[in-house]
Amino acid sequence: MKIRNSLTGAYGLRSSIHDCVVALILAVAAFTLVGASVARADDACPKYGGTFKTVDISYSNLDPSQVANPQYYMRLLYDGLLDFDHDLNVVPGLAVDLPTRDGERYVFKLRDDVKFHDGSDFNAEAVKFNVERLIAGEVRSPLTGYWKKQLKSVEVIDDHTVAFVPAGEWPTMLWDFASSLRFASPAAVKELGVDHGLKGAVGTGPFMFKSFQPKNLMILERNPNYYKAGLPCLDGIQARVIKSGSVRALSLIKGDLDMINTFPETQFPQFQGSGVIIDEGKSSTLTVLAVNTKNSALADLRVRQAIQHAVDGKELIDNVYAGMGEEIASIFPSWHPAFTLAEELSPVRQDVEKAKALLADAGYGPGGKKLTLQLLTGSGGAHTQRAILLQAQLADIGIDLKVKSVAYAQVLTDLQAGNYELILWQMLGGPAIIDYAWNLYGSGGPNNFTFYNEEGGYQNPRAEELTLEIAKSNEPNEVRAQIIELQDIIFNDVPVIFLNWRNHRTARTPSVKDLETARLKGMEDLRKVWLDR
Amino acid sequence: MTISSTAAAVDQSTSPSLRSRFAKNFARFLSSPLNCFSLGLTTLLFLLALLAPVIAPYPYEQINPANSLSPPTWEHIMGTDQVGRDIFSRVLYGARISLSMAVMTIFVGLASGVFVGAVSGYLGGVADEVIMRVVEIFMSIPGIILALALVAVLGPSPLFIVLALSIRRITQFARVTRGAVLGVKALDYVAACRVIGMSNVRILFFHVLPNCIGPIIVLATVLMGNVILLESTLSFLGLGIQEPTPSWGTMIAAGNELLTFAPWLSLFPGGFLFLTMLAFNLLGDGVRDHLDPRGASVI
Amino acid sequence: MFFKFVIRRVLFSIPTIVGIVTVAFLLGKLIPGDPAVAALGLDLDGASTVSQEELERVRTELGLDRPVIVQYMSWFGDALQGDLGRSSVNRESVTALILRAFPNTMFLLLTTISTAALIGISLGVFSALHRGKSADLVARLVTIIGVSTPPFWLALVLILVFAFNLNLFPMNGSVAEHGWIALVLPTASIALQPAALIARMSRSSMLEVLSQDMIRTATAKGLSRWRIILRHGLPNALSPVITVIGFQFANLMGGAVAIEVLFGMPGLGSLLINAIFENDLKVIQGVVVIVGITFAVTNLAVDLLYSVIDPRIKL
Repeated sequence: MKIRNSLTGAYGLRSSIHDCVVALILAVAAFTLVGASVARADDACPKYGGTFKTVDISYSNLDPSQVANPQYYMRLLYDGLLDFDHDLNVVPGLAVDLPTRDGERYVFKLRDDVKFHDGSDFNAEAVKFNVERLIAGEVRSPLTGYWKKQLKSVEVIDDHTVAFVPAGEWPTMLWDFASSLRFASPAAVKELGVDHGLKGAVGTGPFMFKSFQPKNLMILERNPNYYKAGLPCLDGIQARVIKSGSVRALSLIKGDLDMINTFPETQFPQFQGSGVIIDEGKSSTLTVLAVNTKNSALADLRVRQAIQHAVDGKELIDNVYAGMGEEIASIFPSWHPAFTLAEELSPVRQDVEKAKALLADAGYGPGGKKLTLQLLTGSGGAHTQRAILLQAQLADIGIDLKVKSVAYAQVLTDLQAGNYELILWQMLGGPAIIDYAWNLYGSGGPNNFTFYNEEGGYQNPRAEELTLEIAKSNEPNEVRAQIIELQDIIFNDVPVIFLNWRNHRTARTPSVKDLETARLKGMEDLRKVWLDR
Repeated sequence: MTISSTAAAVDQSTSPSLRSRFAKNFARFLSSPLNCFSLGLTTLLFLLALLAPVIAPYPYEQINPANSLSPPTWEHIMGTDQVGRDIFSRVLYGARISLSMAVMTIFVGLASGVFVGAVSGYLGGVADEVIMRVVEIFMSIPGIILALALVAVLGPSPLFIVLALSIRRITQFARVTRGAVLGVKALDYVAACRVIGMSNVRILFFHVLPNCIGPIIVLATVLMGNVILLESTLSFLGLGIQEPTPSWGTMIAAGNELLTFAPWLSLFPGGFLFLTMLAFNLLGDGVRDHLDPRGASVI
Repeated sequence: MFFKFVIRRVLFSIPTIVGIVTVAFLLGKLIPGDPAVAALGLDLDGASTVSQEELERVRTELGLDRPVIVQYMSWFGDALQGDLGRSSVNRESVTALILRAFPNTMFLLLTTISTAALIGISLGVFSALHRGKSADLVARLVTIIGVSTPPFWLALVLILVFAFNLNLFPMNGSVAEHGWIALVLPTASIALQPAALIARMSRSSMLEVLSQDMIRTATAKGLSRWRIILRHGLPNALSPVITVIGFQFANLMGGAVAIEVLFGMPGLGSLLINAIFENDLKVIQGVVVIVGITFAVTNLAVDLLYSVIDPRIKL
């Protein structure tokens, strides 16, 4: 088993802890990389491509506007105006450059050498068609509401120039364009109607639709006319759905699959001696217990702090993530431009005695009331294991944690309805500051599931001010002081109970070349990947 | 459809003393070594389940992350799972869960099914038609589909799982009871009871039903293994008993992720599930051969 | 007389089918969670950014704002016309989804039941002919072990041994992909149980037939042993066995769900499990209706077949 870290200090080394971690990982990487030569072919592909077999995250529809996370494998079929590079920086995609500001409008210049898979031209009209389809809600898209709120109108200026008029401040605009706005051929959409995502997903991407059985098998073939000449290297992609954990792992070892990117870390030992390469990407997955601060017991700051002091994120990393994670040291992940090591980390570290004292102070524990809380979590694998460990950690300070494992749709339903006490939640974010600040802690933030600073929830006006201030900037050094202050407030207020950062990882056969593990699950760029057989 | 043979009930149409007949029957039942074995094994399993708190070396929910995924050792004779819980203790408590749920399911199914079937068979006519049509609706939807759909509706709490599993048992008991009642009803002594002016309720519950007990007992025994398997299947699919309560199905599913690296995770719960089903199937076979040799109560 | 029986039996399956459709509707109504949220297709790791207004729009679109009785009538009418609605997750027609999954499940069930019948009847007859001897005991032991092995557990072992270690069969996938070989391991996983039950029934039925006068007469006439068994014993012994086979066919669906999920076969079982985890109401209802009707029809066919081959049955 070879473990390699795909991130090589893109943002420089920011802190002594970070230094240590990176140095350690590099040492391990150097040690284990011997012999695993990775051929670099910058522009040209090697002669052979091959059909890349993997498992997908079980799409049920391939229409770009019908899934909540269109940045995943949707990137194989469709392009956006903007795209991400490996470090999650926003870069131009189908647009020639990043947008320019013209009054309140954002103006994009489009490439003029792009064609859809059906041969029709990609142009400003096609952009307008797709955006309007998304906003009109003609398809049932989870993004409709969001885009409708943010975007006032789209204007075609000329055949290859298009302008977007935002409804107001839109701090996450670039990220949203790169992640969730992708383009399907208007001709194909008109022809296939609601079946577009099932019977013939037509985009401009590096791969073309061949066949698709929802929740079973997706077969794509190489797009010979991809606008980035020479790419992709692979002849095709097969992504199947395999539910059984052992079958996934065994299929990879046997060579029936080339890569898997969804598997519990506990499976690592199973790959030992099999030649399978496990690759760890430093992830932006923040694992927390989202607290419903409207709940009378949890509205009490002491109770939340007690829970924070009772949990041990390190234990979860060691036992559930096979060591592939990081402890909380900031509200930002360690690779993030805004990462600022908190001066005082004790508020988010385990301290059972302090936890007991806080709880007793709040009137619980020996001689007081018994505190029983319900934890909502997904079911199976890591979900269950984490819940079991947390249950035991909280039991140490006398909190009875009832675990309710439910199907994911149910977690979301309960989340919508505010019908929960604690939720075990994983949050993903990009390189924008807002992803880990306002989105999580601002009132109205899309990932604020704690009612922090919202009506009926726990209030801290200063935190609200700071999140808004920080949201206006995307340059960390301009707002460093605010970040430090916000971080201390959040660590003290604990609207979410911080657990840890979980790394994203892939496991692949040695024949897979030029695959870089992404920071987010499913974001691997498969365009340069080839198979050495 | 009237394929239910009523021969067994007919054989026993006269009932001088139930108790002495039972004792004699039981002795005859035990004369077969295979029956002794299966009865012994089921008793042992029930004892293990009952005494789980005494026998289990660790609390089933006690985690020990430092010793996770330990292969079988003297300390943990069946090894430990991903969070270091003792598999042996969990398997024992799993027996407790599986057996108690199966017994409850059979009980609910038997009590309601026998009542419905007896009334249906005894009354006959329109009531019988209607009841049998309803039974047929539920007979047409395979047990697992119905149980899955119901658990999805009601949620995976033990009580609801028992309910979901027992609905189909009700229809099975109802059919078998009805068949037996139809046979007994036609006998002379029932007519005699009527002549002397006994009430229908009394005839049905005191004179007809006791003579239908054979196929019902057979069905109850045969179904035990069946229900245990269904419950494990639900748990295996993630729709049964929820963590941290141990269930063999859930344990096998969790072990599925580490089949080659830690086979003990699924091997032991699977083995116990197999043993339990073996015990009940053997017992069911023995009881069937004994009470209902012509196989009237095939489900 | 027989014709009347057929008509009566066929007519009686109508209320059964109406009942199944009704049960399916009621199930759908009781499913927890908001189908509209599920319809918006949020998936793993996805943050929800859906507005209340958006939910309302989808609710209206799905007809969730109408009175229950109206929803029932329209569901029933549509179902009669073969329209089971559209999946709330990917908007594919439920009928199309089921039509695609149905053959996969039927392939599996049919290969399983034929394998089980072949093994079961041979084993049962063999047992009966050697009644009381050690061969009989071994055969009975084999069947009892077969019926006691949990199919999903057996499947794991088979995958590990035959697909992974020996590399003889595909680990995962459908008939469409790998051909019939894809059915071998799934079939082997679930055929044991029905085979064992069929063997048991065949044995007792054969024993009963063998003890009848007819056979004794034939033996007395000096006919060869195999001729007696094949010409006189088996046909008479088979009629109750057919009933068992019929019932087992429906029971098989139980094992098939877990097996389809394990082997990644896109059949009705996988469809149902996916639908349950995604709160996809229409698909759950559709599967219950189709499976229910299929087995109602199977039961009907078994009854009719039984009455044809065994004229002694009370009509």
